[in-house]
Amino acid sequence: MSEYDIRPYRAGDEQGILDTFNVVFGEGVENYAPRTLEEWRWAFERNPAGRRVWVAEADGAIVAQCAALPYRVHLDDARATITQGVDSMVHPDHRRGLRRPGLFVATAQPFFREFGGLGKDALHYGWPVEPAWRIGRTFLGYEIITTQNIHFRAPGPGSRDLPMGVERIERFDDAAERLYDRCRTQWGMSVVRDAAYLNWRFIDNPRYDYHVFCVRDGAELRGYAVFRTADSPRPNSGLVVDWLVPPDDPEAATLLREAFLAQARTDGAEAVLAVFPEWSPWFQRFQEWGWVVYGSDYLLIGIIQSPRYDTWWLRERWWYQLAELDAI
Amino acid sequence: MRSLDLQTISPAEANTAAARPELDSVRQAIDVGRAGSGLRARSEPYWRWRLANPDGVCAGFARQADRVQAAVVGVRHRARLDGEDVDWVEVVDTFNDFDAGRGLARTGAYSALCAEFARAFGGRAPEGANVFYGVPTRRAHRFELARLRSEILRSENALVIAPSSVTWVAPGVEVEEVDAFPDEIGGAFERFAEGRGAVQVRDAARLNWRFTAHPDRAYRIALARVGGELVGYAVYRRGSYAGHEGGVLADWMVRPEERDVMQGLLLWAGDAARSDGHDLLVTNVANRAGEFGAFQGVGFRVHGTDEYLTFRSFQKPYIMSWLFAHWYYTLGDSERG
Repeated sequence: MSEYDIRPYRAGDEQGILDTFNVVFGEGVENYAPRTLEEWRWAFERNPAGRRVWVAEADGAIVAQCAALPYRVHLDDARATITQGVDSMVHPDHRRGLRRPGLFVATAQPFFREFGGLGKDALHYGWPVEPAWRIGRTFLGYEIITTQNIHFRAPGPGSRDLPMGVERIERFDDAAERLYDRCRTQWGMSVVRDAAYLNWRFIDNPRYDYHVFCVRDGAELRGYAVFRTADSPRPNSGLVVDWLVPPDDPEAATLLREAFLAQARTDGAEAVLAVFPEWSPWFQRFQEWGWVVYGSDYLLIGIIQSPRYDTWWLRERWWYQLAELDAI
Repeated sequence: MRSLDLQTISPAEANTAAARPELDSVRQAIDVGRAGSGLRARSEPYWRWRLANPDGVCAGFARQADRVQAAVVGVRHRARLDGEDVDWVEVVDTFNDFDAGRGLARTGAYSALCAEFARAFGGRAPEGANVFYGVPTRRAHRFELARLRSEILRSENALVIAPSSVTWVAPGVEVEEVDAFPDEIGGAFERFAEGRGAVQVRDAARLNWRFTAHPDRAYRIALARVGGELVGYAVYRRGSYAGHEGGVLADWMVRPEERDVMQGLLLWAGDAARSDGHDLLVTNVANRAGEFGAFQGVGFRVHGTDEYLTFRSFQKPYIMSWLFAHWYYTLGDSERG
């Protein structure tokens, strides 16, 4: 490993990171749309929660990366951060096979020494499929929090118009955090859904366009839903990316449901997918509304970096949505 | 010096004088461990029943002087895996004596025992059991993941319904409640198993041991026939699963496309629950099996549980993703049923 300089990101690395990213993630992908510098800057320079990037450099090129997107969370009513592992990569010319702790693990170990441990990021999580999970389990201590269930249903016949009372949000304001505070009273952990996060995550996202629907009561938000169509995890899917509605406001929930179903019909989506923690009332409510639960191949995994918490605790108390997955 | 003793116990050996002292040591240790997790001690009839399993039992313990420091008990099951019959082991009880030392010494005997247990009983088929599995308690979960090299296969769900909320119809399906499984169940299983990657063998001997002879739980069994042919069965008991109190569908063998057969057996189970004073049925099947969608299709709703199904594979390609996608199981394939 002596030929590699393994170190934190420094200004100027971004083009090298992008070059390797597009080689690694474009491998064998038909019609691959390369990541742009603007998309990288959005993810790693403008994230309101900061940046977590370590790289391996060889001969002036960035050849491996361990990176994560941090999120600010409420954890048992205290503020903390968690991170989603993203863009794990080793350039094909520098791989040693999956069974040996190669360059990725060498890059990840100092990453976790810097950002892991008590008082630092409380959780490092991801949604890998099995091969990536296996590497992480063997060398980095990944644990499965849940095997991820997905709700799905066909949009079915119906209106393509937004229901009366539903508006589109152009930009989130302080009302978002007040709505979030009303919703999170029963949650053990959740990403802080304030204007800074929501505008960064959805409104200013340079890669994806989202439909952001809301129901208002004067200046206050009664609820919002974020929706887009995509070809992943299934072709021609409508995705409920974020859902924030107090469970005791069924009227707002029904309006928002009809809004994204109308959008799904307009977009020609064949199925509408959503993800809810199993303890949430919405896990049941969406089934009552005709969604069927399916066991996906995705694993919600974590490296839990505080002895106060374990996978059981997270499974029973963490509010998360597809929004917590950067690729959606 | 720690002495590490491992023993396999077959049904024929189960009640021999030679096996009794060793088994009593394991039993006592397991009961201490269960008490530590707030669980009731296993009864004497329960142990006799377990040891009478047609496929046998594996037990191991680590002992220093007269004190058992760790114990593992597994129940063998015959499984149909890719068309071949193999042995699997359901790890049903584990014990670690946390008072025996400090630091790593607290789990040293347990770790050594788990490694030895896997060497003795696990392995490629046909010599070894190529899959271990279990549903550990929260306390055992972390140790088994670390020491038994177990992996999580699935975070488990419950399928729940209030039978009064739906109308089921089953034209042409005859449902008969019986006291025991007839031999012809084996033929029905063969048809059921066609095209499935992994499913535990269901024949009269195994099913009657599992349900009819169970000393603590009173199961009711119903067979479904169409035109006289046995096409499915359901096993019901009064009780709870994952906090849902009512009627538990402990086992279920109906091909998912056979909706009329399914509804016929559910009508019977709903009546059984009502006769027990409940309007609730709860069950679970692997959530990638067609049955998981079929149950939802007739009105069941999916709920979360706090259970993880864990496993260890000793043979490729039967790794996590394969078993996740291809193994059909019910509550009755573990002690949850």
